[in-house]
Amino acid sequence: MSDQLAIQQADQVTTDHERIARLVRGAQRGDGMAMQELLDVLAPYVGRLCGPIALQDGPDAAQETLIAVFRGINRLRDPRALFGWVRAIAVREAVRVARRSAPAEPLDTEVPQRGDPQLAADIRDVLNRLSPEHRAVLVLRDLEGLDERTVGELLKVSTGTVKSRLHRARQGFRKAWER
Amino acid sequence: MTESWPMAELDQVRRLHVLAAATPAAPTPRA
Repeated sequence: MSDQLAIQQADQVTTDHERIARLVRGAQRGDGMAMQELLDVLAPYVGRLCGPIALQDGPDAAQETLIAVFRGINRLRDPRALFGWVRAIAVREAVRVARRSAPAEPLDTEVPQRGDPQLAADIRDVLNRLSPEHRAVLVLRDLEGLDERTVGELLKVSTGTVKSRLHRARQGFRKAWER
Repeated sequence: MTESWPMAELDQVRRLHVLAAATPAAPTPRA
């Protein structure tokens, strides 16, 4: 990477931090424009977390998450912590909303095989066979890239539980990914 | 790979619902 590009990227990060901080402060004052802009920033992030955990209830979970975020925005003291704070709320709401729905089927049946129509459909199929708690571990570890200890803290379970859930969740994915 | 994961979309109705639920109620005028 050239120095110039590195400087440009650093400037962009600073600008993003400043923009986020401005939006959070505005939302905390009840500024409607800031809330709308912050919603534009957060909705894709929340959707990416809630979708794989809550599946067909994903939009409900995303909506509940964002309502909780805006209602609790005054509790957020440091805007730099915004995404971590939102992530914790999104996972909690996604698991809660998903558990209201039909329970997941046990993961002991056939998983998608090579040659099935689409990978996206395969992934959804595997996710459907996992419990919301297993899906949450998978999303935080594989999609968000968090370490096992942090995942355990977020979900209020031990690192051992995180490992066993992850093992079971990945078993289901292995065949779908080994294409 | 990650782009194949299902993503929850927030449609316009839900968006409005979030903003309405989050906006503090205006004070009721006194009679």
